[in-house]
Amino acid sequence: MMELFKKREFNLFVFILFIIFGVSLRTPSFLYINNFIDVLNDTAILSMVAIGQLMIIVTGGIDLSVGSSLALSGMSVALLNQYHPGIPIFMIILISIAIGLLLGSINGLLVSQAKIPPIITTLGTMSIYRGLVFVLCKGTWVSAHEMTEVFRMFPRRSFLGISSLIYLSILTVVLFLIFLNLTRTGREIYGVGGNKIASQYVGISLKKIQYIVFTLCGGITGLAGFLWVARYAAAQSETAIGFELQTIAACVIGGVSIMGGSGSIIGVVLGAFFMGIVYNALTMINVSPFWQMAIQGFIILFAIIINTVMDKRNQQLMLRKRNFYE
Amino acid sequence: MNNKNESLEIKKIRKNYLVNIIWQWEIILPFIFIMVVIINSNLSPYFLDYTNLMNTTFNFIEKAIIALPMMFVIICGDIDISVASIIALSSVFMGMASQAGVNTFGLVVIGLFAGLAAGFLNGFIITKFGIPAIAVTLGSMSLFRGIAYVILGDKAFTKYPTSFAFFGQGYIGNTMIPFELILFFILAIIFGIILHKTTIGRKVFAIGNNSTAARFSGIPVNRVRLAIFTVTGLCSGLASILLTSRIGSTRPNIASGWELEIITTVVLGGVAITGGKGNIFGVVISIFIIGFLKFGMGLINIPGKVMTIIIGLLLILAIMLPQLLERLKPKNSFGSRLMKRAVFKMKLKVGYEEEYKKRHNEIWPELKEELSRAGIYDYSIFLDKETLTLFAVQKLKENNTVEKLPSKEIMKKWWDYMQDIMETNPDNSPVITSLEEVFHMD
Repeated sequence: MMELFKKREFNLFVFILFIIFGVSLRTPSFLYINNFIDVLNDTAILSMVAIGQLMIIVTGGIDLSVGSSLALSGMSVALLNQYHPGIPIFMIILISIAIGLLLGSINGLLVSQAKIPPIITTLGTMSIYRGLVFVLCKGTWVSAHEMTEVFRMFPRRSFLGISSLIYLSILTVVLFLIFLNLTRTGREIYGVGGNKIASQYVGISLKKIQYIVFTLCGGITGLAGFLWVARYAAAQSETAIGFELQTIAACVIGGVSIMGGSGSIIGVVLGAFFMGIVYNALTMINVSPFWQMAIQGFIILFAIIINTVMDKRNQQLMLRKRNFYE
Repeated sequence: MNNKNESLEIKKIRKNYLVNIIWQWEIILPFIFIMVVIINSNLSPYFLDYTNLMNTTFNFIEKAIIALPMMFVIICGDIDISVASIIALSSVFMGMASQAGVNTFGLVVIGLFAGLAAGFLNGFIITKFGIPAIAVTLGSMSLFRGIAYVILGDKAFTKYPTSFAFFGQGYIGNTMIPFELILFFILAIIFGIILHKTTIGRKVFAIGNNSTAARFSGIPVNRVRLAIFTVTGLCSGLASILLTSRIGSTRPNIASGWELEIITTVVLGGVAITGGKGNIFGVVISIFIIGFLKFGMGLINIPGKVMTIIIGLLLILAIMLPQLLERLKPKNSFGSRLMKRAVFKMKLKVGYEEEYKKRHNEIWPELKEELSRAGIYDYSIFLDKETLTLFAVQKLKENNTVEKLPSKEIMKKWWDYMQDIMETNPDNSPVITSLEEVFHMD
């Protein structure tokens, strides 16, 4: 039980319950199950892409281009749907993922082969991909009436009262939980982040791991691109601007160490859910949406300070214990 | 013999040092700048117009003023992505004050102070809790701009005193030189002197190269970093004054996305994102390269969104190019890429294993000297006792003259001396079979 309390994920979970309790005192309708499903719908895309971001941050990198590559893959399939409405939806999804994989692998190649630091690589590709969105759409929108019904309604199609969007995000979570925790490559990702040099001595290829995480993040982002434009029924050159920061925020709130080496999928999903709950709660208690950004910033700062302070205290406790038993 | 060799080695290193300087990014940048100017002036007749050039500096000098302290931040190995949000925050405070009737002097003080306080908050959290700068400034980036949104919502402050307009719109006297531009050059000189000519600058480089080592050598690492973040905030406040004065209004989305452009400028200027390396001239030239490039592209009607593609490509190429040059660059013979090896085998006659060893133990000094003069070093011969194969590996310097060796008197003498125990050609030289390299690892 004490072990459980030490876990950041658990702290975050308790904190979320605390907020839910506090808000529901004022607005009981906050507790309706439909409201939680709304929050899940709102945070599904964020938590998916945040998992991609998590893998990159765990290796000690960062991906600033996710917002732009999401927009680029989303815009591509939206245009494809507009001009070739006959293409079946599963092809659209595959193409969207493929475009994302391609964009991610470009990042991966630049980081692993050309050895450009991830922050610089993705700063550059963020501009490039965003510019390409504009070139593709020539500054115009693809709006709801230009999309086919199947395309637009895909994220909303529901089964047992839960949308396909949520199913897809659960599928992503489960797949990557297995990948990160139960496969050799998954463990190697943590190994690289923990100690780059030591991991190379035990035979892990840093280049391979870097390439894999950027490409996988790209793939998730590609899928998210389709889901985004379909859900909001609009694709434009400003789609998902600043989204990269939200994904990083979800990671940081979820206890991922920005230095790499540690962080869990559950934490990140809770982090994304936490952000969703807070925004939802703000609307519920009639706080102007203009407060959202300031509160997001405050939460990020608060979360990283708490995480760091707790980490240091834990380390000290461990040291003290060791001294005691010696 | 050794001395001679060493002096040769030193000469070569010196030569390579000169080559290194020529390949340095800061030396390449001016040529890129000249290229940008030439291409632009060919594409549009309006580019090389004095008034136009002066006026276009308005578009990038505010960013340039933040790029100067950002350079210090990045050399320290940190990063600050909250600068654009600090601009918004201090612009909003100035707007509020102006609405309340504060005069121009008061507005400047408020603008600077808001920036200073925001920068101090960043630096304080980073150094006090030991959190990476990217995480902290990511949070404060949302927080600062968020506060601007909370205060302004969808409204805008547009009422500013007339005299406030000078900072962002004024020229020096009757010249067409903007006040901003002069201010930037003064600041660039100050920052340049601090970085390259004072102990503070040396400390910054030391922290960037190895912050632990810097701390153990008595540098107050955290205090220096705190000061740098505070100054970055102050300069963002200054940029906010200039920008607010220039456009005469404040909206919460003011200067959005600037942080990335500023970081791009600094990195393009040759500052290593990993810290520890950078030069003020590189950054200043890079500011003008990007500024004029955008101006030129604007003149030939390239949309802003397309410009971002070019700036992004430029950033990635700027980082890749020095690495590519590094690979092409000639290196000294130690572990050089241009280092060659000669690997071959020879055959020993039966029963002379010990004799061969003995003769090589007392190898003539003159021969050794001749071999090393020809550019051979790190020379080994191995013997396979089963087949009596002699296996030789020798490293050859770049400008070796091994092909001339057979004509040397001393070489011929050695071959004559050795011919009785080895398989030889008619001229007494040993029978040599060259071997193919099938695997290599550095």
